[in-house]
Amino acid sequence: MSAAEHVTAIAIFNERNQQKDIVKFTLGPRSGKAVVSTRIRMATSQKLVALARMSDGSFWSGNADVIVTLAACVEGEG
Amino acid sequence: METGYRPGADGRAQARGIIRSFSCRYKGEQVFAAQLHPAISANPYIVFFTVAVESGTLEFRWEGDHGFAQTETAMITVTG
Repeated sequence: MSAAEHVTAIAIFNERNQQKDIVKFTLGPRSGKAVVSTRIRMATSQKLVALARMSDGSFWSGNADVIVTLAACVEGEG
Repeated sequence: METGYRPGADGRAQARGIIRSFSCRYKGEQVFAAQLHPAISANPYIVFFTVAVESGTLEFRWEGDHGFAQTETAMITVTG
């Protein structure tokens, strides 16, 4: 995470909640490292996608399949 | 954090009431920010890093629906 090369943003998306957006973090060279934690709601088992934007304009993505064993609070028909 | 999708006692969806943004300023300069959506947990939890460069004030600000805004500050002392 140098001034010349760092992560400027990390966004997390889902595919089966009512809205695809979850959160977008804005980072910078002063972050030190591109590591964030948060806590989210998921309607059901689904794939999460993380997208990172670099200071050179490039993007990196990764995804994870997350299993929801019991939906604690079902809100409408997902 | 009310998502806007949860039905109330009358069966209709409750109005959304969430924190939309969070930011952290370190001696006045923004070092971290987040835009939150309804998928964030009812009790939002955010962990981030920033490099301790000099002593000063960290300002944390949350803004949300219905005009919600809250600012907290913390002093950080950097030695050596």
